[in-house]
Amino acid sequence: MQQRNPHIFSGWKEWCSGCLLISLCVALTACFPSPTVTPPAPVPGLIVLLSDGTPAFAGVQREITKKYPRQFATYTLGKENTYPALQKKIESANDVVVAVGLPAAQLARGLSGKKVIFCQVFNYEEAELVTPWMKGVAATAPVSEQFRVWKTLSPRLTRIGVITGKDLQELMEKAQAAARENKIRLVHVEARSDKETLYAYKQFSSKIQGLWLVPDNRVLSRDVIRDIMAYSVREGKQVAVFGQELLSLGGLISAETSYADIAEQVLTRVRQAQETSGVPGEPVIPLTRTVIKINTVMAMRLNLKIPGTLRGMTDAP
Amino acid sequence: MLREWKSIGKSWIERLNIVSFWRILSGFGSRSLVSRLLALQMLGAIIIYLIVNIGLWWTSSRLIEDNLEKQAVRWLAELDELGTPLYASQGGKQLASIDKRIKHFPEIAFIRYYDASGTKVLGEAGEVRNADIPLLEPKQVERLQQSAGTERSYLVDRSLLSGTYLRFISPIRVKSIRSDGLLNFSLDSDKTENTKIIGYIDLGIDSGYYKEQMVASMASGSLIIAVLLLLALFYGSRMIRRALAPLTELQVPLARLARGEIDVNVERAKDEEIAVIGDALNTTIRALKDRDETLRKMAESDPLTGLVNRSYFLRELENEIEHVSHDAVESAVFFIDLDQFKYINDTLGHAAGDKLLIRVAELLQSRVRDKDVVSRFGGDEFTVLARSVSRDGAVDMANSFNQIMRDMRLVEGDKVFSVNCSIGIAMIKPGQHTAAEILAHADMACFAAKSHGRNRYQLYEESGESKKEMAMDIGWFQHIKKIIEQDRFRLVYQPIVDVINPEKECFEVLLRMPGPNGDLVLPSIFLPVAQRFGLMADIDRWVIINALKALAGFHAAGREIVLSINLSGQSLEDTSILQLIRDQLERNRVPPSSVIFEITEQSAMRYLDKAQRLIQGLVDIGCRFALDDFGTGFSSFSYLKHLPVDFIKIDGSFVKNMARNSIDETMVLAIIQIARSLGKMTIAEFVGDEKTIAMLKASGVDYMQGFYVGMPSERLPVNLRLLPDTKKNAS
Repeated sequence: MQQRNPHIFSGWKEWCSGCLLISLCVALTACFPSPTVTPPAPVPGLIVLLSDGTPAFAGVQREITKKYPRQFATYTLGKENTYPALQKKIESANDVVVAVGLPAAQLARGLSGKKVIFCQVFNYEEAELVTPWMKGVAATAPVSEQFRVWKTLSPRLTRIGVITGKDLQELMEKAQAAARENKIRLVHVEARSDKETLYAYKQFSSKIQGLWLVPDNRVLSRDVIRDIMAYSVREGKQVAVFGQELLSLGGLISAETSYADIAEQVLTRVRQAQETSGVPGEPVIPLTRTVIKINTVMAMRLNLKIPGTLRGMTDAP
Repeated sequence: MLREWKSIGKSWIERLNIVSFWRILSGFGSRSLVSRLLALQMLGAIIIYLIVNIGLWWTSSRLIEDNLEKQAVRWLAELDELGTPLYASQGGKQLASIDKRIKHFPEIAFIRYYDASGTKVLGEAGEVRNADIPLLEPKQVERLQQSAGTERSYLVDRSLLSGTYLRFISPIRVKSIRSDGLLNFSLDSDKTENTKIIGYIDLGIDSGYYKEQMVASMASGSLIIAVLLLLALFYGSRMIRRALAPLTELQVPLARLARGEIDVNVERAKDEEIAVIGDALNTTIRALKDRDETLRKMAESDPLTGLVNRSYFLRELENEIEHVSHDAVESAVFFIDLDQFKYINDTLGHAAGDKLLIRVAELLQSRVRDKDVVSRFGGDEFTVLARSVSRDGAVDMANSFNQIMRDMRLVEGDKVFSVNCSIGIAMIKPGQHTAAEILAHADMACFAAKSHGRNRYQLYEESGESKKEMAMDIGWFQHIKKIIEQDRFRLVYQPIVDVINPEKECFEVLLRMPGPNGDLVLPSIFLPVAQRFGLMADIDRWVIINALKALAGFHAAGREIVLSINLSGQSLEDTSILQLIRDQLERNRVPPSSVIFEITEQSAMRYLDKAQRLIQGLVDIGCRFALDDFGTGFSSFSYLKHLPVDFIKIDGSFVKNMARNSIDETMVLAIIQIARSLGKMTIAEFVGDEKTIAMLKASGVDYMQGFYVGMPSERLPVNLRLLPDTKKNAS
């Protein structure tokens, strides 16, 4: 004789009570409607214009998002033929523009009636980006900190060289001051091409103990960077580089900026700009923090003893 | 010194076999395996040398071009860096450092730096900087501008000054990272860099300098290769010679073999292939030795008794004469003649006669020393050479021989026979006589022993009658020899008339010898001496040669005659006589059928085997044969069955008296009857009168000969006594 499953048909009473509960819920929903889920409207006051989506630019934008209390619009440059439309779109709003990268900065410079804060731009002087309404945040790490760590690591360091293109007076002035603070003599040579950079370095390398490799894209090529690094290793020269990757090529010390620091400095200028008619302050404000790494392999090879205070910066590529 | 160098040079040429090589290549001279191998080796070496040199030249040229290009690329890279100040300061003082840098590189002819347009020279360096080197062509500049990003970013111009210089042109580029390229910098980034041409480098390489270097290197390399090949040739030729040495060593024994020497031994080579050849040669040599030994034995021995034969005995005798003269000793020669041999032969048959001869040979051999020589001299004659024996010793030996003969008994069926012998002894004394003389002495002594009653010995005494007789014989002997040497015998021809066909001319060749005083001497005078001194074979040869020559002359003169030539018993032992007859018949173009050879019945019986062989040989070549003096001695009709003779010449003693003696007549008739029954023709000799002719004609004789029929004459007689209408009696 067949036996019934007690779980499936537990009784018509339970079934009727379930239906009643569902009907009640539907009725309550109809009486009290919830608010509509839509994207938050941009808060007037800030537009971020990215040159492209590279990590160096996106990272800054991400940090701004974290630190800026209100909504802002973000635009990314596309092809050049889209620039006029984008320019028109941005001009229609009464906002402060943050231009990240040189192309964005160059586009922003052409905006009328806008206050622009640029960042991640090295050669702003050559591009003549600085105006009363357009000022920036330094793209390089604070040189004074960099020199201090370098001197601490290599106490006998007294003479270093640097090769750049033209029109970097402000950076060089700050660098000279930082060098002097650390009792280092900085020899500055201007070059016009990567070929001249290499040639110049080989010419005056005998007169210096180390090279401060400034990220001036105009006078550097990847081949020349490789040659400079290889030459330095052969000649036993200390090189302070601008990226951790170059430590693996023989750089002794690297100094990099942090996106958070850049974002903080940018927002500081944005707030200043929002409060005044132009952009107050010096053309480019320096960054406040730097990420320094020391190549222990090169330090050992150069017979440099890493002090205890710098142990936290060591890196073995 | 010069001589030394010459000898060294000659030695090298010989070693390398250049002469042989040239001979072989040019097809002259005899070919040799070693020379051919060496020539092939040398040819191979030359081919290798040429191939290596061509390969070396081709490879070197390619390598130099390749290296030159690679070196030029390195130079361009270095010059690119060295020329940087030119583009920084637009000044020329930096070129001094370039000049200094390239000073030690003579292959760099010139260096030019151009501006970005490629039309303006910013600076020049190098030794030929002021030469008329054309500027860059716009086409070249354009190509270089388009070469950016390609693997080969330079141009090579090989046409400059007809290829004197190789021109390498490379753009000078500067690069820069894009403006955002240093943010998150990566060396492996795929972001393109900004590139810009700021000038051009024009580098001229003196290819002639490299070619000179290459030629110099090639010359030294070729020289080294040549030296190595010469060394390889030298050692290769030595190895080939060494490898072929076992083969070339076969040349000497093979040459000796070719010269007929068989006392050669080929050493066994280590190489299997050559060892097989050596073994085969040794086997061949052994076979030749065995064959020679067999032939020597056959030539030197008597096949029936196994004793040495006459020629071997004569050689031994001559050697002994020398030995006796040298050592001043005496030896002896025994001439032994069996007394009853013909009787045994006739009564018991040929086989019994042979058995007797074998038994006698064994007995004689048993009675002599090892150093003595016993020979079967001919027929039933034996000779013994007793070395180093005195006169008394010789007499003892003779007695011993007589005794064993007396004691010997020959059993044949139910009959027992004994045989005696007569022995002649001649002593060999230092420096007195020749071998022929000594044998003649022994023969004469044997004859004397027979004359004195047989079964005894007689010692030849060089005194009294014997000496006189001997002196006379020796005088005749020397005369006969002189006559033979001077070719002074004379032939006469006696007719033999065909009874049925008297027009068919046949003559017996007879011999006459001029005597010491010029008179012709009859054969009955000189032939016994010639027989005794062993000259019969020589006389027979003379007769054969001259008779056949004369016959050819008669035929040429239109006389189709037949000649009958006598052969002696000694010629039966001359194995070369058959070949002589063949040669003379051929030389004189004489038909063999026109020649009849005669041999006496006694000689035929004495040398029966040899007679059979010679007669058969002559019959085979087409000659005919006659048995002479048939009916004398112990002639046996049964022998006629075994001798393939065509004619039987009835002994003249029967014919001469048949007209007066009935017994002789009966004998003649019987011989004629038996001969006819055997299918042989008869010739009657000594026909002396008409009556005899008639009787013979009546008895059915085929041919007649005698003084009555025709006298012997040096010229052929024309008219014969026989009538042309004579008819043969068929009965």
